[in-house]
Amino acid sequence: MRKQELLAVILVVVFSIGTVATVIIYKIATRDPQRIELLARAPEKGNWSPKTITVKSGEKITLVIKNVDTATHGFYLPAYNLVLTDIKAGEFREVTFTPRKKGQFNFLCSVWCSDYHMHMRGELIVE
Amino acid sequence: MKKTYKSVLIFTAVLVALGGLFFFIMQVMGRVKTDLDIEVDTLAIKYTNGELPLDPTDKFWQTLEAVKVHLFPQAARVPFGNEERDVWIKGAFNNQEIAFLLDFEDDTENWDLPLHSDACAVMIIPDDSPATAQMMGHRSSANIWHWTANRDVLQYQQGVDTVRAVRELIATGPGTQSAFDIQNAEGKGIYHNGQWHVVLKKPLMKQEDGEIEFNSNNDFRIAFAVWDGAMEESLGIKSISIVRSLKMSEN
Amino acid sequence: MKNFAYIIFLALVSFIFLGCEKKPELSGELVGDQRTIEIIAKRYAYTPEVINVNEGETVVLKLISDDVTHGFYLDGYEKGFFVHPGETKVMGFKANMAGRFSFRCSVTCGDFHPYMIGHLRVIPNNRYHAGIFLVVLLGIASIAWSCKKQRNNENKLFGVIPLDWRFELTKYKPIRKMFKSRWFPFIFILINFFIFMVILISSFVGSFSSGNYNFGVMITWVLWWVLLMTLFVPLIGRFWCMVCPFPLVGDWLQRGKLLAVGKHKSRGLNKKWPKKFRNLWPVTMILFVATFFSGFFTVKPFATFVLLSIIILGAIVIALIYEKRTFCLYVCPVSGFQGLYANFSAAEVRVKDPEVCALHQTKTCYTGNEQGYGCPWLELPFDLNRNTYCGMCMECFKSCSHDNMAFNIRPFGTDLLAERRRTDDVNNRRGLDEAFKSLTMIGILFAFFLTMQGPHGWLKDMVRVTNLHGYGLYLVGYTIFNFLLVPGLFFLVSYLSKLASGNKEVSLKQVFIDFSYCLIPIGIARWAAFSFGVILPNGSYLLNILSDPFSLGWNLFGTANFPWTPIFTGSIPYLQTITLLIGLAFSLEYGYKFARKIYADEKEAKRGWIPMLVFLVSLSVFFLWLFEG
Repeated sequence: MRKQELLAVILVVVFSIGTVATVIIYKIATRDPQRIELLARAPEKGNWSPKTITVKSGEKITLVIKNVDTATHGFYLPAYNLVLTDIKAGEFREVTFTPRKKGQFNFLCSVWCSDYHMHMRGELIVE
Repeated sequence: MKKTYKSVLIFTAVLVALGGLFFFIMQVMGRVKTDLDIEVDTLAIKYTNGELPLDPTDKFWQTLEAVKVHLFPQAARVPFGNEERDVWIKGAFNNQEIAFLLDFEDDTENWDLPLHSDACAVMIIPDDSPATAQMMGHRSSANIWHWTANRDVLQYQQGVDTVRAVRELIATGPGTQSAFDIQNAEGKGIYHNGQWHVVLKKPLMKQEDGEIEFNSNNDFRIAFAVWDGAMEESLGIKSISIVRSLKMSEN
Repeated sequence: MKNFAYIIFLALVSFIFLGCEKKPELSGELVGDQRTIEIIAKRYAYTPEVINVNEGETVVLKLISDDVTHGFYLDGYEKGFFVHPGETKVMGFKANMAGRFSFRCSVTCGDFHPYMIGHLRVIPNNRYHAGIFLVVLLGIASIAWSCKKQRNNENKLFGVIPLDWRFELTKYKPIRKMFKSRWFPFIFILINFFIFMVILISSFVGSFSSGNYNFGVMITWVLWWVLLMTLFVPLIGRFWCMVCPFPLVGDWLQRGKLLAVGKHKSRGLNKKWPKKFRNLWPVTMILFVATFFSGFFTVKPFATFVLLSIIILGAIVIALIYEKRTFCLYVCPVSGFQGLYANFSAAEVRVKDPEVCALHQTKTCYTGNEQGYGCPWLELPFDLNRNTYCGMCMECFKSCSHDNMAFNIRPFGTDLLAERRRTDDVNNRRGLDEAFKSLTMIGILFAFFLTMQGPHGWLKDMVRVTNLHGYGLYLVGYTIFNFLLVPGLFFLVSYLSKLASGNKEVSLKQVFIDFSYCLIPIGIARWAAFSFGVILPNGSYLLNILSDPFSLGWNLFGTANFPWTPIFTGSIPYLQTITLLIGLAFSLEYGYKFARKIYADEKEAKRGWIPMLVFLVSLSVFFLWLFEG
């Protein structure tokens, strides 16, 4: 019975702490400087996160846009003519490109998503 | 004694757990803050006793303070705009008319191609419009005064009777614009030193259904748009301002 | 002769119901046989909320959005389209199916998107009328049945199934062996423990994102809740309590052992729950208050996280202070209706042979021994005659030194007629506490249906706290409805029953309490009906969340981007009506048996039964109107 009790305890620990740890370790392990996670949220829910993205000119990056909001958003970077439209709630969308033009460029939301849609803006800084 | 010790321990553990949960909740909820990126001030225009000149170079316009309005690329309907710009706005009204002066930078003067002419516009919507009226009105009609350099040249320099520099349009959403039967609005633009100076004005009273009647007792909302012909901008490819309140004040 | 008169009266009443039905105002503009209707969609309702068209017309819908992108999906017809703000979209179809159909938003448009619903009525609503007819027919059949000489039928269900019929599942050795193993039901508790860890993590990570694509929200409110109301509770009663992971940590802290049998001394304070509250009152109130926020935790992951955290913390705290499963018995919000409705279920844990228990001195099922703990649910297993407070934890199977426990399949509802025990009197149970639990479950269901599956935008605005004063108004109305109006109405019917019976001795309170039990089958049926409206339109989201439980961009089963696909929505009204009829049949059957119990004399019982029967039939018609009318 003692062995079974130990097994039961191990299972409980694995299922609790183990699950949490797995998620945290996964997030840390898959961190990639070339992949930038951008959260799309309406302005009243916090706007883009991060608001400002800084990258180096000539280095390829992948923007992973995750819609953590409850309305459909879009991504539009006029300086690079990049459009990702209809990113639905809960969806992930990726775009890979190599920024060359240096400067500060705004990116906007391209789908009317809230009363404050016109305020949904972030900045891409290419150094 | 042991019972009391247990009780105290449990009580403390409960407090800590509840406190922790409460703290957690506050932290998570605090993460979601409204971020409006930009302040949008009310545009206030004053009453004047005298005439409102159609000429952008008239001294009258120098007596007014300009308000800088930032324009963003149109990004709600394809085709999208590309450019960000600034436009300086001056406005005034008297007993008969309401007028605005729009000053904006433009590297080249483009007026010969009707589709790729430099242009600008003022949009007025009723104060009780929903937020989606930003997109050229929504079920409540938007009034748009659309000036193009091409028509300006046709009216004033080439003296074509049937053309007016400013067309008054009514719209209830993107792409739904159509001209009013009775055209009341007037406008004139001057290009000088890499800048356009355009006056748009119109009588306060309305002459047709759907036309907005101006008076200093009511509030309105206003937005601006600019097109650069050299960049082949027209229709949806434009820069627009965020809609803001328009206040007409007596003093 | 008198009974015949009652039948005529009932038939007349039903015709009045049907005749009273106002002809609904038809929507939109009719040109020829084409009806054009403009629909405005705005968070979180449609204008008009209800659309009425004639059968056979060609319906043209013009959809406009006043704020963000909205969709329109019509149940039954299974047609849909969506519109961006600033444009108008048109869809046409032929209204060749009569009835009432829900239409819902098909594009996630905001926090409360799943509740954006309207109703389309294609008149004549024949299936609704047919439903009324069937309900009234059932009522008439019940009277006719009660008129018949009942000598043989008193101990039978519907005159066919003996109430004392039992099928012992544990007569099969492998099953008995499984129940006696300490790993049962522990292994399932462990699996659920894992699932709830994932729920907690995902609902925390998801926080203010869409609930549709959140593992926590979907598994709790779409999968678990629906399984609970359609399968677990009606069939097995407290099945969830058997495998619930919430008491795991508390039990472990109390016992010092997770799986094995330790010392039978609690490491906590082991206090006794106050006698005054050893009934269903606390859980009734706790659930009621929890439902104040039901608009939130069913759609916002973070709200689910908070709710579950509070319940889990509460379970641990109560376990440290009070004895054994006090939390499960008297605090857990889900416990109340599981316990009460378990009286209706078709499964039970009982002793095999009472003679064996009579000769057994130590009663190890209650005191515990080396094989098992004494009943954690503070029951006396040797004397167990009702499911209400038995959590099916199977400890008594392990601790009974005579192997005398049994798990039986039985006819539905036999516990409703179980006799009172001493513990019931001592703990003030089986009184108004259970009556109010039964009544509030009906009231809560009414409110849930209206707010979550009804078309009224103004009501949804109140529930989602667009402003505090609307929400306050809702809470006041909701409370008055549940604790005054519904019980008040039931009190009136009980009074009429007593009056009709002619019996002067029986206490009105007893009539009220006893008859409240016949609301249980109808209550179970309505909650199951409500659940069909939850799972069939939204079940496809389960595929999404299973592939990406933590919203990390995974696609474990390839279904992370599975499009929203409502299934069999056309069957919802039929499923709901069938369950209603089944529930009513049981309510009527047991109701009459209750009448016989309350009023000693057969003639008095028949007279006293009529007002209650009319009430049950009217209640069913009312629910039919609410769900399909």
